[in-house]
Amino acid sequence: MRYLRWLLVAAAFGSGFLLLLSFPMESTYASKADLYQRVMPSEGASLFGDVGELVGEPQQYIVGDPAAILADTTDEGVKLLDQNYIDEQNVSLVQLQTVRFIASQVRMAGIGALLFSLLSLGVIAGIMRRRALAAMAAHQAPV
Amino acid sequence: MKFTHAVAGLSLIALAFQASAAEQTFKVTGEKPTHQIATVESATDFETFVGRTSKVTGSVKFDPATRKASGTFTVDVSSIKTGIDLRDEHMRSPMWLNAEKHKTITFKSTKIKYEKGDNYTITGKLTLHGATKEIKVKAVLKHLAESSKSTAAGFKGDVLQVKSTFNFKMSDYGIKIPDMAAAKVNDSVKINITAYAQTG
Repeated sequence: MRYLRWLLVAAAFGSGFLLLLSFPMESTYASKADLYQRVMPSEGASLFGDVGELVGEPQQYIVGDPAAILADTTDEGVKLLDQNYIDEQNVSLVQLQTVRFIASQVRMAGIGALLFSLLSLGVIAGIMRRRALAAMAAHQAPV
Repeated sequence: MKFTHAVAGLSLIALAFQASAAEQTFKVTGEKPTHQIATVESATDFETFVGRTSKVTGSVKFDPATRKASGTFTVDVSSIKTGIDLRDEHMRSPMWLNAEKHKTITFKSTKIKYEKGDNYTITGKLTLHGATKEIKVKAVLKHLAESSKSTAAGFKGDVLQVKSTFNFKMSDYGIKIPDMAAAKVNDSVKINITAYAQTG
């Protein structure tokens, strides 16, 4: 029972730590992210006055190589990423929404683990108290 | 009288010839990868991913004067890439697009209505995963006559830029998302197609 109690205390601290850590981690990624539109420059696009063919909708990315960022922007001012360069150089693109999703899952798991640990510690404390009381009562019983 | 009839007849023939000559056939051969692209985008809370392919072929009949048009496009299913090989493999598998059995996605127009500017509304049949459904989509058709600029860009003859974006539900075409992938793949996906068809 003693070892289980220490294990649960460690679990409670661990999940609490993980829970707290998820916030600055998410903030760090968010501070590096920006809204980008991926485009594929092509001869056809430039012939018709476009920068390139759009690849998906604008997303918030953390871009591994600034050289992938084009000088132009969309009409709405969104920065452009050169998809051809990204493909050729295998540039890392991390979506902020994925980071946020994982962070939210870690928090939920952390809250769950923390509550379970605290609840279990409470139950163990209750069991140990009852045992102590029973032992005291047995010791004081008249012979 | 005979001379008048002859002139009228010749005029009608000339008009008919002019009308049919104005309609051109633009082809997307898929020879140059940069001349066409089709993308499919799935957005969920977890991630948004885009599958891309340049293996798009098709043809469009278009009359710049009357704005009448008709066309067909075909996309090679097995060529669609999402950036992750394992995901591409799953996508081609029988559980998803079943690329071995259903090799292409095709769209054939049945009615094209000119709106304004370069904007059109196209009604047509989309065939995907062995199912065909009629859909209505918005499209942009921009015509460019042959020029030194278009030739320098690698095109032959007149060029027609075709752009369209539309959504469809995979479940409408018999593709059921497995429970384990529900958080990563949306049933409703967005298709974007851009092609530069040419007469030469």
